[in-house]
Amino acid sequence: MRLKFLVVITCALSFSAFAGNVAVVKLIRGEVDSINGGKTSRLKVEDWVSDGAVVKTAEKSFVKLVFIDKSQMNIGPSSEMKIEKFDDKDSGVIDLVKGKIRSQVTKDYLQIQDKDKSKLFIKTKTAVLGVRGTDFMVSTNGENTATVLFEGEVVFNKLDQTGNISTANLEQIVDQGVRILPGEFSVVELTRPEPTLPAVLNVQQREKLENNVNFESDRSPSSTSTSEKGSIVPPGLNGAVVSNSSETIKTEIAQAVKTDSPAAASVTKGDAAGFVSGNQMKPANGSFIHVDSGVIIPPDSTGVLDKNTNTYISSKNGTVGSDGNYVPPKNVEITSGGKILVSVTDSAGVVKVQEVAKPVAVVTANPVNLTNVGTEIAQSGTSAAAAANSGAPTRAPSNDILNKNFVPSGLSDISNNQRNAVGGGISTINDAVIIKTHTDTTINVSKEP
Amino acid sequence: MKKLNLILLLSCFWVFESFAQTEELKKASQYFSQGKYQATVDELATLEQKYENSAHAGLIAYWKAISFNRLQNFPEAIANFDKALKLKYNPKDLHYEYGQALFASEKLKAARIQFRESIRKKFKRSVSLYYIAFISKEMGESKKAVKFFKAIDKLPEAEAIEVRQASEFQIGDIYLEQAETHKDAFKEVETHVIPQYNKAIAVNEDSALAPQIREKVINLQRKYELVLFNLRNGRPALNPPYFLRFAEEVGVDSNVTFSPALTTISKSKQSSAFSKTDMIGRYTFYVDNYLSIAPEFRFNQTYYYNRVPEIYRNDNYLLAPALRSAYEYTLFNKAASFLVDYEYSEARRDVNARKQYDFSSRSHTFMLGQRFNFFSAGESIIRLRQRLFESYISSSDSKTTSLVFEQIKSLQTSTLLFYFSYDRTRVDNKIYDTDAFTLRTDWILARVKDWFTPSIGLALTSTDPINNQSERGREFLINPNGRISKTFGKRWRGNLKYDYQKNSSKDKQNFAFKKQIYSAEVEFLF
Repeated sequence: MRLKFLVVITCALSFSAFAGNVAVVKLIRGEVDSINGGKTSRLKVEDWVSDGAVVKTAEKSFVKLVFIDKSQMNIGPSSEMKIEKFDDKDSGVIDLVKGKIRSQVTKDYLQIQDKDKSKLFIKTKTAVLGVRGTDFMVSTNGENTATVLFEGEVVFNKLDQTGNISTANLEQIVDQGVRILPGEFSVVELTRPEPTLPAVLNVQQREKLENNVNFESDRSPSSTSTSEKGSIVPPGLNGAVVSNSSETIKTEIAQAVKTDSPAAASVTKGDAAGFVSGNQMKPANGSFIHVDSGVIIPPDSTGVLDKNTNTYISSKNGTVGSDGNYVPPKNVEITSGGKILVSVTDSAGVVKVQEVAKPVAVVTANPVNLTNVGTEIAQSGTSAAAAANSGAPTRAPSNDILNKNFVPSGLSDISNNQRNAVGGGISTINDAVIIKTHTDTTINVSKEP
Repeated sequence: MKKLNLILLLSCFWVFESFAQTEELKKASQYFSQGKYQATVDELATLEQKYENSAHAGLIAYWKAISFNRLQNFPEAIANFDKALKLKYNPKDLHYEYGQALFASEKLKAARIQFRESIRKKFKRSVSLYYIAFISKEMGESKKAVKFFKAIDKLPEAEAIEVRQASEFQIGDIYLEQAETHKDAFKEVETHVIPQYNKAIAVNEDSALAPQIREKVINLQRKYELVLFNLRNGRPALNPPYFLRFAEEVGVDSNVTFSPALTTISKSKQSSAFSKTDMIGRYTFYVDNYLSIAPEFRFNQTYYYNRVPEIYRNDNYLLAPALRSAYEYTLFNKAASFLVDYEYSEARRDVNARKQYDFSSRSHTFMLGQRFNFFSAGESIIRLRQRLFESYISSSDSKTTSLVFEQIKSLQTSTLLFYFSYDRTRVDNKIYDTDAFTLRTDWILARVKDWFTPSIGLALTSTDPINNQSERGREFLINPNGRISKTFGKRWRGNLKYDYQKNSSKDKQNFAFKKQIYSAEVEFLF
């Protein structure tokens, strides 16, 4: 009976493929249309979508397609995707015009044995993704393209050409791009010549995005992530310094599960803080992605480095919704076009919305050209520089009751900050050597005149 | 046999159960290692009840707590750390992580207790100390905070290094809070706060924190008008660029000696009260950020109240204009200056005891100097100086060439000043030619009870009258002295001074003497 069913399904798929149909609708929510040869039809479950068709989803809509090779592709809300090519001879090409797709590509698609050859290409206006593994998400707003990988491997690069490009050319382009590993993301921005170097996504966002296969929409912060969290990093220190190596817990777990060595984290090691060097930008591990726009939100300076995953855990630059989408701080909004808008209340109590520059997605200085510590996104439009100028590393306005008797024990009246010259420091006046302070303590050393 | 079967059965069950438990934990372990902390917590929650009375119960609570910490769900983390401790499960990083969860939840007192335990377990001692100190600061316990910040220094370098700069910075902040409540805030900021921030910068000048501290120092210098701007080598230019000082001193000299030409000494062997008025003014012009030129003028007048001729012929006044310049550059990677000075002085004195001022002496002094920072102790200066001296007695005209070395040593709570000079004096009347060495040390001590500042000094001069050794022999001048100073507001300062001099010479009649000077001085600075 079972065998019969499989044969029927296989025959149906083969027939459908022969007829130009390449994917079948398995799940649908809201309004999803297929456009083929100028003809638009509303899709429903078990409908077939053919090669060359454009699939468009409305707001809050979603469709799950299963391709003839059993690969799944979930198309998110407000998306438009064209199946440019999907046959049984060569790698497929999907053109994502806007929106986002989540795809779980089967390992044996087309039975391509060469591990270094892409089994599927996903193009956007600005980027191309060569799929060599299984589970990933890609999104574009027409300018920026972001890719997050959950399992397998993808290669990713900026795409400067338009129109039909052969798969051989696409393969060449992605080969020169970046190789993304599970848990990592990369972004192609219109204004940058190269994709960002892969960085590890914020662990909470990764986990939630991975679980949200069907693009369920809920941008309220999840129960375990409130937007007003305290930081474990005391002012003056950074997240790397206060970080616990996690060796103890790993050893404890290893003993309990009876393995020889502590469980190794599956994420990449290396520079967690990120850097900018020439055209290259490596965002900080633990950065958030604003999926709709591809804007990278770095961990704030009070983020703590989780050495288990080599990522920063941010507490101030926003949080993650239950659906895995980035939720900015209360007074910040990020548009799908990638603009960052901050509401500021002026002295007259009028709320003004200002656009602020995108934060550089790094935490601390690494090689060169580093301009910022990643807190620009934060509260009340306060810039990092202004925060630094206010200077005092305090958590909150101090309510210290100062002990008047406390004097830094026995410090001298004479400044160590000896002054210059023709006026300060050591100098002479008619044979008298003096040490000068602001109040000019004069110590005569040699003879009086 | 039955018994054996039962034992075997139980053993098998135990082995199986143990294996099953291990497998269940492996899944959570996998999630944890992938950073899937929510999944880890969810997985452990399913096992929690099942393992309630097992050996793994403590581990599960601790593991959940750590995972909740990573999810920044601190209330849940705290509850689970608590549970682990109740189950007497206490691995070495538990108190540290527990302290962090409490700290993030603003439960500062409880957090401090956990960090103390972490130190006991020798886990991340320097950071734990920092947390304790910072919490103390937050709780208004400034003294305790400074104590704990300073305790970081006592840890081995490898441990302390990662938090040393931040802790010095925090100490600076505490000093600043203290200083800003002080009526002489500007002086406190200059003498305590800025040096503390500079100490913090010196820990690592290239760190991410260093620019923040520098910025803070600059803001304070601007706020308290401590510097005008920084010269190209980082040396601060004075603000304001002018300097004016008036001082009035009254005292008693136990043995007024007459030596207007520096070649002979005539002892009065009488004491006298005296008053001395001193005024000095200088304005520094900066040419770009590398050259400063400062014209200066000094006037002082001394009057003796004992009106016998041996005494009042010492009444004098002095006029001394000077032009000083400094070329700023960098030497040994630190600020350095090349100094060129010219000084003129003219003294008028009642040399003939006629109760009127007559020309006594004039001098032209040329000086080339090098100020540099080579020694870790502090700033040094080498000077080469020549003085052309013209006396009212032409045979006493002289030329003195001096080589001088000065060194400042800043100690933790005080300042030491060393001075060494070699003076070669050649007089028209060769019999008065001398070669002299002077060594002097001044120690400016810590302020006492926020009230006054003492300083003491000792100078030793050995003079070789090269052409008159048979008469005078090698002479030694011992000159200990001390003073206490007290500031009154920004402009006024009072000094009490004591000076003792004893010069020993074979020529007891003319060159040996002893004297003591007690005086009180009021200074006004503008």
